[in-house]
Amino acid sequence: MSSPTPDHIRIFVAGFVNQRLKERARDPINNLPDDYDLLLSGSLDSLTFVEMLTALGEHFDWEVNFEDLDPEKFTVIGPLCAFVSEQLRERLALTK
Amino acid sequence: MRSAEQFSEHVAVIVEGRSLYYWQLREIALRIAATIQNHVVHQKHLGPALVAVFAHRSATAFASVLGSLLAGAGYVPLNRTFPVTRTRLMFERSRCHTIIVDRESLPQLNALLDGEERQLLVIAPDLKGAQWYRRQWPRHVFISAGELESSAAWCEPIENPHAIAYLLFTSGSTGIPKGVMVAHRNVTSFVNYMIDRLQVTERDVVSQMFDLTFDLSAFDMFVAWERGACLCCPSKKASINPGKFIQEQKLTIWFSVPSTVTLMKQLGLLKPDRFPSLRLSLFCGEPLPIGCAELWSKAAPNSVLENLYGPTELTIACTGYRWHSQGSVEESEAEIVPIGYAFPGMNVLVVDESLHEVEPGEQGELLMNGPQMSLGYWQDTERTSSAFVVPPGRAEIFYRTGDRVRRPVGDGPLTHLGRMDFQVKILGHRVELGEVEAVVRQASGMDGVVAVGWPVSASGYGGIEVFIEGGAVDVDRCQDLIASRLPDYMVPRRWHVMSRLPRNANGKFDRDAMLTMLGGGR
Repeated sequence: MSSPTPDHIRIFVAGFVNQRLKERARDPINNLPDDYDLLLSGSLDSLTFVEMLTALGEHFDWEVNFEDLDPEKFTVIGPLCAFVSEQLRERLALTK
Repeated sequence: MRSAEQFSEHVAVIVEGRSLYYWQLREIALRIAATIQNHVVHQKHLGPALVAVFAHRSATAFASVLGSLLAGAGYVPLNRTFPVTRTRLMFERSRCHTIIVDRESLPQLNALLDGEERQLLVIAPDLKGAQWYRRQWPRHVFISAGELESSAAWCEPIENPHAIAYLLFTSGSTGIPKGVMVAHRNVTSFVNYMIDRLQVTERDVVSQMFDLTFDLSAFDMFVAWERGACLCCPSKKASINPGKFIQEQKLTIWFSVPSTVTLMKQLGLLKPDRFPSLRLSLFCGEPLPIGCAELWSKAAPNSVLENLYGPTELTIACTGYRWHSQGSVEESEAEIVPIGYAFPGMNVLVVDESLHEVEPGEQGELLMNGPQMSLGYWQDTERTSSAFVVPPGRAEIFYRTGDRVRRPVGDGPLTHLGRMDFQVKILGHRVELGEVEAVVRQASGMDGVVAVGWPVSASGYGGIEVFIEGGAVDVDRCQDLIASRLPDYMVPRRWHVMSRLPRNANGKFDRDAMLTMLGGGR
């Protein structure tokens, strides 16, 4: 089994964000560039952001360690997807 | 103002990643105050009685609150994170003639001014030039950054302890917000007691978690500034991880709603000894589960933990309870930390439906009065007279909190048992939703629990459904456990386990939103 790539993560995040935007009757976003900031763009607020991470954790069976979370980086799509993907890959390597 | 002179080289507030010294905050506040005063005097403008502050988590927000007060006016906070229709309703109801707008609230200004018939003074301290607005809205007067009066033009207003310090809109059950008029003497009484009780000093770093539209923000500002402490406002990003925020800013005083603790617990941020810098942790705004208090005490080992209680109508907080690792669990009821003892000068009366005092040990509605009792509701004598009442056999007005408490026996603390209106009829039985929540909390080990009556029936509700915040809950096991402890009609019919429960603008659990999810709601 191979671990999810950053693009897998991105697709999931985009789905989550668009669902939230739809609930607030706002237009969906078609693509999420690497430098897209989920929080500062107003797509998510701090609570829905945490919710998104929890959902991400549940979906990919990833144990989110919020304590190490650097808010400055974590809300930007590129670093977020890379980080999550990297963590999942490491864990898969360990369990092998 | 005294603090601004005494502590002028200290940091008054950290906001938007920028430190503002007391002298800087004072300077901007005085310029705003002088601008309001100048306009009132020279333009024969109406009132300065109330000034709307349309600003949120910015230097301008804090300076505007102070500026309004220094001009001798009360402030009316407006919040750009609210739907603009609600903001408009509040603004119209307040009848303010002056509004101060910060940079990030400016985009909503047009929607607020559209169709506005009053002649307004609009102060925009973050705006470079106001030409566009002047052309767009010739009826109103606009003052941009460069057009503020100099601070030297400010004249000290005549103090009137009975005048409104702030007008705060709270949600009314009818859907129309009620404006609570809090007087200077109410706030002074609260602040003077708190700085003494908490021994606040200029070395303290105080969290600023509350929006201005939530009255607990008045504690943050006025308690911190009265003693020269530093107020610390998390950026949008920092608010994702409150644990990191406490550590990085080396906060000494933490003040939030208990829901924040529930969330932090869920995120695994409450590990032992994580927050050694805290010397004081305060919670207010909703019931504090004992599980949260225990976990927080371990995470902040050097901190005194206090549970505060107070409706907006009784000015920020009017009772308090200091948590002790020994004895407090026994003093708690329904898994909730007691609300404790009334602040000095505040009187407590626990009454039955006919407003007669109940016996010690019995439960009833909490009524209070004293120096923190506010002036009532803005231009709403009807609702004021139904909430501010003279109970039979008494000579004084008391405020009906709508909260259900147990009258202490001897010198025990007051315990909060829920809202009066959370008492529902299920199939003819009177049920306290708080009791169901307490049992579910125990059975599931989760703190974020909300029980609602559902569906609506002719005599009340058909049953109870419960919402739980958390991940893994063994619903079947809990259901069995609860069925062995509660009568059938009180056992929740359906369980909704969610990673996060809906919260309202103030961060409290939003029952209406949960009812809406079930297909109902008000």
